[in-house]
Amino acid sequence: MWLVRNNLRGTLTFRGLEVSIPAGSEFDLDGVGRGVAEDSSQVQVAFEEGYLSNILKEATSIPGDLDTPASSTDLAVFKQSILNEIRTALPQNQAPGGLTAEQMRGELADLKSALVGDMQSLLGNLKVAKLRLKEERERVLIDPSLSEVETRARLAFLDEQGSRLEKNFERLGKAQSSSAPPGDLLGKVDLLSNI
Amino acid sequence: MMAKAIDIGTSFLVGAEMKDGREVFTSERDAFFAMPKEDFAEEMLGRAGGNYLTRGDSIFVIGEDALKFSMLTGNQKDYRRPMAKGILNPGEEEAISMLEKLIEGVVQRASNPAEVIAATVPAGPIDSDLDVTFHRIVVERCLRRLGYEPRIINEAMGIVYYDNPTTEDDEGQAIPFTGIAISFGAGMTNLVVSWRAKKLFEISVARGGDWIDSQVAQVRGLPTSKVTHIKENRLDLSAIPAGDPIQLALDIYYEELMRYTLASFAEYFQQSNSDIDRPLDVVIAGGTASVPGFIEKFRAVLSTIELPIQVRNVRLSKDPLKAPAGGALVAALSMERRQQEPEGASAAPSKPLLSTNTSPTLPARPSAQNGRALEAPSTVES
Repeated sequence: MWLVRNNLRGTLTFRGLEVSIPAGSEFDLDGVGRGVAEDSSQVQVAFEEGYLSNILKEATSIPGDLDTPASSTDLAVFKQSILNEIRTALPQNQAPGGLTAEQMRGELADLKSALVGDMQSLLGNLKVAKLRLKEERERVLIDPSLSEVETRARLAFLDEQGSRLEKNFERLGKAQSSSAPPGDLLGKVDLLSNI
Repeated sequence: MMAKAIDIGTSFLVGAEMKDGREVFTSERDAFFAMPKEDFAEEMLGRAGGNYLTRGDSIFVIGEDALKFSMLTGNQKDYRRPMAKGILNPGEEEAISMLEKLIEGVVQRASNPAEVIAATVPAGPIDSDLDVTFHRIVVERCLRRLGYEPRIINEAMGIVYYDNPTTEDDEGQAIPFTGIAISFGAGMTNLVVSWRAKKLFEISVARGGDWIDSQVAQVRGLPTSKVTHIKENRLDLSAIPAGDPIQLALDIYYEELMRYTLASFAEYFQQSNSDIDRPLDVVIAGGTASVPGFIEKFRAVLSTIELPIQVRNVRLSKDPLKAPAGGALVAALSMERRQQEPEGASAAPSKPLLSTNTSPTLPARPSAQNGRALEAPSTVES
């Protein structure tokens, strides 16, 4: 168990961990996994800034470690249960009669085009997101209902989000095709590869 | 064919890759302009379509836009360069971070795992204690972070791969990738002697175009930027106006750079106990060599210096500004192809990338009489 308390007057949300801790409440961070919580930069910042405090942090025990070796029977039972789960789940995920190679290719192509569309949309949204972050920052700075520590917490969160948007460019430079005859360079690659 | 290449120069970064069967070069000025972060500045940059990044309370305008911004504002102090004298600028605190952003902007992230990229670095200079190793490691780490499998090559070897100088063996057959290549850059001048794509000898001097500019600026009492402007826009080394003291000074320092490079080469090559008894071609590239009249002047200087290697011909690269990047791309594509070959296939000639045979006939391996420098050929230099 790793029990922590939210010292703020507002809800503390760790979006990367999908965790929200209401004001003044306690929460067991082991629920999201000790390693995940300890590695989270958001959690680290929250402790450093005093938004979170430790109530109880028990030493972790790793199942199956040297002190408590798992028996071969335990492992066999565990393996069997995993296999049963996979066998149960497989027919639900498979299309009736299975997919042909052509259908698979089609689905992959659809998926790819959907991802490309999402990425383009995401890039378009970056500018808007940056503007929103700036507006939110200004609002936080003048909000009289926020305590000093809450203001710092929110600004730190906005900075963290903003740091991901620091560049306004993806590509640099002026591209220019060579004036050399096509194949000239590849001919040299052939020559070099065959030495 | 996914491999790429990048030539990381003091003045420009040049990326190279194949697109639709042709090599495509992407060049960007290796510079940035730092300014305080103020709303109007960011908005103005955004409206003008300038490339920039923000960090803390600063805005860094990147690449060619940095020069434009410096000229527009008249502020030269905040026009800064991540590189100096061919390597990371030791006096620039933002050197690594800015160079990384510039490299990423030019070559992008790798499009598949372990995509090969060949990057150029200079040789360690003989006349300075500048640390090339640190520069090399920073470049490698940056490219690995972008998902590439980096391969580092000497920038002058890039000229060899791109321009393919040749000499002849005893039977009169052409020996490819054999000759002397010199890269006259802004920060440094690099020279290699290559035999059948194998680097036999390398040398660099910490003098280049920037050195010429600063020397002329010093003797004429002018801002360096003005000298650079004249050099880039008016200078023709074959027609120096008698009454122009700046161009006259540029002519003198160009000649001094050539003489210093060739004399250093002669001295160090003799010390290496190497011996090549065949005449070699000299291929020259680099931004500093791009002024009109450079080759004629170089030939004149060369005729006054006794070199330990017989020179057959001196020529300017097909593309002096892009040759190192283009040659690095040749090396990268070759390395990539060797990686993809099944195990045990390396002894057999690789399948050609071209259907027509544009390659000269490969000669037999050189015999011992060609000198001690003749080692087993390799396409990948260290």
